Amino acid sequence: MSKTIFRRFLLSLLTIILICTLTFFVMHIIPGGPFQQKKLSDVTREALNERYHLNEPLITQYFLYLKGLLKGDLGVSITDGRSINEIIRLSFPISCKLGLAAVSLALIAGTVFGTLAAYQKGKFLDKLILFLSTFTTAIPSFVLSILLLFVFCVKLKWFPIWSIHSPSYVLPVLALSMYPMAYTTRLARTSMLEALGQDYIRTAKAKGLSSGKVLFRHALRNSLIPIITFAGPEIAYIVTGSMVVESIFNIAGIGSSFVTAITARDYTMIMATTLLLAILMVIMNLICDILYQVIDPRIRYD
Amino acid sequence: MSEPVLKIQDLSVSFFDRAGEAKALSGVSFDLEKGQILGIVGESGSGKSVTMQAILQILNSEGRITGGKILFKGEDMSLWSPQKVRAFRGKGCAMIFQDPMTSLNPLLTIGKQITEAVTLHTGKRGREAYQRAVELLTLVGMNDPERRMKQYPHELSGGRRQRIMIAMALASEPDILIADEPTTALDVTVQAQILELILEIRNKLGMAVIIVSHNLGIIAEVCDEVLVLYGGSVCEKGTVQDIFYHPRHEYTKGLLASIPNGQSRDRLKPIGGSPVNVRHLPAGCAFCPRCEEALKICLTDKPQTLEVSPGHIATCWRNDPEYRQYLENMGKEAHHD
Ligand SMILES: Nc1ncnc2c1ncn2[C@@H]1O[C@H](COP(=O)(O)OP(=O)(O)OP(=O)(O)O)[C@@H](O)[C@H]1O
Ligand SMILES: [Mg+2]
Repeated sequence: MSKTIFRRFLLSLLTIILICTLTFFVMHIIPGGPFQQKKLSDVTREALNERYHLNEPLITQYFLYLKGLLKGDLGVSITDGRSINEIIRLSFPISCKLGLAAVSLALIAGTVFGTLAAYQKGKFLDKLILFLSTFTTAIPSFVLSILLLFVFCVKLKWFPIWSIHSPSYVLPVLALSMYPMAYTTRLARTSMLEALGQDYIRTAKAKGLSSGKVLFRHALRNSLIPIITFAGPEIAYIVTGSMVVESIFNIAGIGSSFVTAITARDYTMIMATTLLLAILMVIMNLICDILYQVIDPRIRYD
Repeated sequence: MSEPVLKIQDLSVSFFDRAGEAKALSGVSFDLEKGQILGIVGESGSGKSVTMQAILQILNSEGRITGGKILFKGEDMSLWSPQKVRAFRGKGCAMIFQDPMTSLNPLLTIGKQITEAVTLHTGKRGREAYQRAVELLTLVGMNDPERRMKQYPHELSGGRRQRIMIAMALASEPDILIADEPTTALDVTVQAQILELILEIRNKLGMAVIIVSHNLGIIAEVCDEVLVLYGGSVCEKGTVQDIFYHPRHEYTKGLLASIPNGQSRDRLKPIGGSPVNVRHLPAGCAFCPRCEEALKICLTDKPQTLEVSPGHIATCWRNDPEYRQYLENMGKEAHHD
């Protein structure tokens, strides 16, 4: 068991290095650069390129970057000159808090709704839940965010507009959780229906167990695997911030910096956010694998 | 005779889905006496499992009881509250299923699944429930029961899992044990052991048993009475003697002719045609299209269920008194000539 985990760990490390390398080279191969679009004198541009080692051969740049990484230094943002470590320290916790709240809400509510729908299959509640989840998946998140903002902040004034000093997470969390909630609902419904059709559910019923016990003790656990599979990567995505929701609600999270970084060709920032996402992704996959084994005794390596 | 534990009267069950109505059972009646072992035979799709599911009221959402009554110790179950029905499941009537591979929850230990039943039906908890579960495992002949308690279903063989199912069913000391093809998925040697176990437990605990099986050999060996189903109706019911030596329904005769036995191994004769589709039941006898001895009336009218000898009933026009009389007259005429 520990041997498998160690092997998985090495593999994860390799994955991260690979993703970084790929991103690094692809990023530089695309024509253009951080100082191309701006109206700068040739001298200034030259000086800036010099300062960020952009004139060196690509391979040298790559090793320079790796060297910094090993020291835990993500470099300096090319566009605004702040240290990336500092930017992440400030904005990641905000996105993370927002994301975790949203994803928890989405997973819990989604699982409950999906389970209820499956249990009531074909009845009114099932149809309602199915309709709402289809509807929600169809609305783009920026429409939803603007709608929420307009109704609750502007019209009803229930929540203030977001600022660092009076952060109100309710609306952004709602906006962020809608899509994964709808998705989880549909996923939970499908896998619950499958679980409910199994022979051991009939056994549990024939034993005389109440429907609650049949549902939650016997069926639910069996229906969780697909939800976990979805939840792993989803958590990684969502805590690295949503560009749309963060910009609409004016939140200083990492999602908005990522988008700015890409449009500005801020190489170090792009690298940093990619690295962050890759690491989170790998960690979540590991956690999922462990959870599978906790839930299902048949999935045990070795 | 005392009141039967279970009395099925004219039970009809249909499944309603997009394709329409499937009449899985149309008017099935039988009694189950205390301590009796009743065998139910019939081809695939004849309604054996549906009958059992109707008794336990675990039909799926498409299935509905459309007529008739089920009386448990004289009480009409359709009048029961959901709580009472639930208490009946397991406590009044426990069930074991055909496929022990899929009938146990793969994610819970054997111990959890048995103690769950123990707690539910006896109120025992914790240590006491655990002790009782170990006792049950010993009762069904599992070696090393303490270790089994910690194992998961996938770690056990089919025969062992079926023993676990039986142990679980016995947790409540039920009045009735229903075994729906308990041995079909098992090796022949294991089959015999499981049947032996069921018989032994019946003798020890005195409950009534219903065994559903395709295997007429098994039925002949362990049952007191036999019920033959075809297309959701009872063809014939009687003692093992009646059914195996004096069958009075062409379908029963066909079934008997189609099993290999000592004398007629080379004259093995499967029943021709395919089983009736319960979505399109014929107007007359359901078996008529496949019956080699069918009469004109079989095509148009449903046969009556008649008692052909004490305790032996059959549903076939060939047992009709008028037809018998006619046959007799024919015989006499033939004699005169
Ligand atoms: N869920 C269902 N939906 C529709 N029809 C069903 C359903 N379950 C059973 N039936 C119908 O009811 C009839 C009887 O089925 P049942 O399962 O009782 O057969 P059986 O005698 O147990 O057969 P087998 O020997 O294969 O187990 C079948 O013809 C089948 O088509
Ligand atoms: Mg069956």
